[in-house]
Amino acid sequence: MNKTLWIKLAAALTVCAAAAGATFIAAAFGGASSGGTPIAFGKIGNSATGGGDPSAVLAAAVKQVPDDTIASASIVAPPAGAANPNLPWLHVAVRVPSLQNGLDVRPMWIADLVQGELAEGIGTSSDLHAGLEGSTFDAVLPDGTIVPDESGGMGDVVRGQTFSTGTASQVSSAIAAKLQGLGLKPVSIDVVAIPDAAPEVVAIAPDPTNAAENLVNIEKTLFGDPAQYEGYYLELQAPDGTPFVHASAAFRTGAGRFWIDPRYASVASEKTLGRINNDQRGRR
Amino acid sequence: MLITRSRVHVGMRQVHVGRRSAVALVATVVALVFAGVALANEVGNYQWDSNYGTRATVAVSSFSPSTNCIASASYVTSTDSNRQLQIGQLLCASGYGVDGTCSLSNNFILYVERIPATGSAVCYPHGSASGSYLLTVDDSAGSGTFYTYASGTQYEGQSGYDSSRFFSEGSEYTGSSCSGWSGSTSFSGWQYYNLALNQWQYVTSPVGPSAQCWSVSSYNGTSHSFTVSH
Repeated sequence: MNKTLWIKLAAALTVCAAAAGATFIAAAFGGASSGGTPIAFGKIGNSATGGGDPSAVLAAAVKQVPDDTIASASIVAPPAGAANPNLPWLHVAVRVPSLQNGLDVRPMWIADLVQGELAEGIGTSSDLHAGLEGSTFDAVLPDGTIVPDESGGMGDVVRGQTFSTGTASQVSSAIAAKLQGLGLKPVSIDVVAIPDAAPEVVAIAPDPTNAAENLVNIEKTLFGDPAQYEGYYLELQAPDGTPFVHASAAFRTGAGRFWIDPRYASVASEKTLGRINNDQRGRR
Repeated sequence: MLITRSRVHVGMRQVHVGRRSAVALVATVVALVFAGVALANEVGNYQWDSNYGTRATVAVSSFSPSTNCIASASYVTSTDSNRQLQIGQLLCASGYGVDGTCSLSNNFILYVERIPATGSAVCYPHGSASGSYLLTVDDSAGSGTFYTYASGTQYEGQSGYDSSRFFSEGSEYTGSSCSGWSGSTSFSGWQYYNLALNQWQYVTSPVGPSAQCWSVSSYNGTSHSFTVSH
């Protein structure tokens, strides 16, 4: 059996295994392979419309940012060591209020949305990553300090996902109704369009522990499953107004960002993979 | 969250420290419990603390989480555990996820997660996973920038590393219970990148294992392999 057939078989069996209930069993698989079927978060429907000039597509995307989050954005050559030096690379300087307690999530998400529009607009491959090598997001702190390479990357995501193009009013109304159904109290609901609708929601959770436990369900209820919007930002606050979750997703780059107050991390249904502790050093 | 080995420390200190320290330790543990602080994801790994990269064939035999997520990965982590870059395979149970986009629909995926020294984590999915990859994290130029690879295909990098970092190969469960899930992964042909010689060399005597909930086999110095299972 050739490699392509193995990959197709692997993908088909993986889907079956997942559908059977979050189980993966690899008994049917052969040796190592690279790559895989790109991820689709939303419905597929758009015909490919890429092939645009990178600088022009980027300029159009940045123009849609509703505030001054993006200090600068440019197409640059990939950094040293990148595998495909001839592909475009996005460099963004992102203004962040702080790098502590998740306050970088929302600004970096805006850069993710810009990158998503860029990736969709310039490539032609079914995998958006094939047209955009990657990105570097520098953080610009309020005192002007620049933290280089704070974030950035590019997932393997399917071209041509379709997302809501509803008006801000339509999207806000829909989400307000869903917040009520979830027992969450809206603080603010804003909608950015880079280029499609992407809601940013701040809400109070009367019971933060319960909200943390059900966080993935909350996100899917508010923003759709499959994803209804091209991305979202969600901030949950405790009844006293203290944020305990900052979460975002950008479904054209695959970038998912997450911070949770450590008091709720152990019960949350959404996690960041753990930082490895090296306290065994020196035992050899 | 910080993966700690607090349980190990608690056990050791209860045996070896004096009464005053023990009382302080108990008070600390009680305070943490009441504060609801997450002490641990469950990890099973070996570590290697020198040179410029790690790579191993990481073959997932099975992942079966009824809650939370299971991952097997190659890592580079700064010594203070603040900065980290990992590439691995991940499966989350229905209703669970990592960073909002990784294994969001209980799909088995290849991923890269990068955690900055300060700031929030970000995860990038790289398509459906096949179960077996040569997973690499290396800085072959010695510049402080590490890149990730899956069977030779390059993915995200992360700059800013100095000589204070270490490497890991292992598995992780994102919950804090030892029941309700199972998984098994083999790590074989483990090598580190020797920058001075500009070549990959086999890891002979890694640090560890660490085995929270997991069973980690003895390191086989001939095949340079081990298994992590639960």
